[in-house]
Amino acid sequence: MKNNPNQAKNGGDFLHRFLQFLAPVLFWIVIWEIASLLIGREVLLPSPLRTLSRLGELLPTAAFWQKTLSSLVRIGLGTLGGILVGVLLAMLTKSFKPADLLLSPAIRVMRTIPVTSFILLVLLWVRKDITPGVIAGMMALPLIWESTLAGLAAPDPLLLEMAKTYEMSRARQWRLIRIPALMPHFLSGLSGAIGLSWKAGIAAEVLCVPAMAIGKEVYQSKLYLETVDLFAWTAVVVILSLLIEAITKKLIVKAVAKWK
Amino acid sequence: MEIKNLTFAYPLSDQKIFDGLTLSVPIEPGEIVALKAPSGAGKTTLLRLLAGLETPASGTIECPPCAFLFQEDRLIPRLSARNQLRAVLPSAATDAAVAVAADIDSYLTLVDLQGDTDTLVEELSGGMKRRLALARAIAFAKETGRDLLLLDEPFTGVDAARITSILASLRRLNFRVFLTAHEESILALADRVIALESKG
Ligand SMILES: Nc1ncnc2c1ncn2[C@@H]1O[C@H](COP(=O)(O)OP(=O)(O)OP(=O)(O)O)[C@@H](O)[C@H]1O
Ligand SMILES: [Mg+2]
Repeated sequence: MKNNPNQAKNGGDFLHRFLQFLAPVLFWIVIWEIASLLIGREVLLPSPLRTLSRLGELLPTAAFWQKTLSSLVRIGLGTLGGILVGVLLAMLTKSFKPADLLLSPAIRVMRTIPVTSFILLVLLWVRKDITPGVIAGMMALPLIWESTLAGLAAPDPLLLEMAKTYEMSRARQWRLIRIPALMPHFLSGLSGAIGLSWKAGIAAEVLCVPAMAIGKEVYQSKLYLETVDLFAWTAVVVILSLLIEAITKKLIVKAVAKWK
Repeated sequence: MEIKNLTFAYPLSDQKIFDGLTLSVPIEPGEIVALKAPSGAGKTTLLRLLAGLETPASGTIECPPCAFLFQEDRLIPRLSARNQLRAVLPSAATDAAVAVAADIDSYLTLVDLQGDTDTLVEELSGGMKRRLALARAIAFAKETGRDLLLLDEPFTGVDAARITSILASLRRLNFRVFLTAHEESILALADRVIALESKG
């Protein structure tokens, strides 16, 4: 690790980068404020300040954390399941021709089905508090499948031939050649899958209305025209999205570094 | 090494690279034999056949177990020079590992890379990479007890002084060396040169 370019950048540029991030956010919040002033009706477009104060009311309540946590766990577990199944199916697709013939078209079709149809369909089959998790998994699955498949095909055949000629064990081939080639594909698929399944999971919650869920709050605020609540809960979804994205990016950077 | 009546064509190609080739190449320990032929004549193909990496359409090939140096470096990305060698050595347990570590450094010294044991492949020059690939083939041969080296253009990008010293070391270690080369200067350093007539 002679020259790590990230190291030098982090320190001095932090403030600069923070402002670079904050300035556009502030700009759009000001636009939002002006728009809500012009419209002048909270039901149509509440002001950012109102939304923020509603969030402030929600945050200290136990119910808020219960709902948020159940959504996170529900969608998180579903996503994890989708990731595991996606990886397994990719390995199957790669190693058995018949599996490839059967799975490839099925997964391609699965991707073109609108999320809403999927949600309503799954709702017929499983309990409503599980459906959003299943949906999250189903959104993650094809992305993981495809990226893992690409990663499994990624190792340089010349390197693999070298490994065989030099009698490298299978374990070593995986550790030194196959997994390093797989990782970048898998991780980029992973970050896409996590973002997508979170949003789809929340959408499923809005349609399924499980007892404890962010999506249920979104649904009810729409039902009773509590637009401020709609905005506040949507803000929660957005903030969690950004957090999840930031955390997975951090972990992914770490994971990539590990395979160097 | 004996080749009898060898016929070979790459799959999906109807051009026969060899058609009834018969060739006997006895190599003594410590002897260096060079294979000379114009580009595209089939040097790589012949070496790959000898190493068992290609299967002849007909004919027989007799060749003892060998260490093969590919024409391309085929180094593993993001590994240090030392780990590059370690990757192809049988995994040794605890105290044997110390001996292996010393061996590894001696192979790197043989190709004059002792100053770059911890350097990543990406940070090596073209000639340095070539020498590292060569060191890896030598290490593999030594640690698996093979005394035949099949080297496909081992000295691409390597300077004359180092070529001389590396070949001297290979002689001293009693390897039987069969290598391919274009340059007259390298052919001149071999004990014997075999010419492969080009098949049009
Ligand atoms: N994988 C392959 N598939 C089909 N044809 C091939 C393949 N590899 C080589 N050939 C053909 O076989 C012939 C001999 O190639 P080979 O690589 O053995 O030549 P060479 O003597 O090693 O040349 P060079 O000195 O350029 O390395 C060439 O005509 C080449 O086009
Ligand atoms: Mg060649």
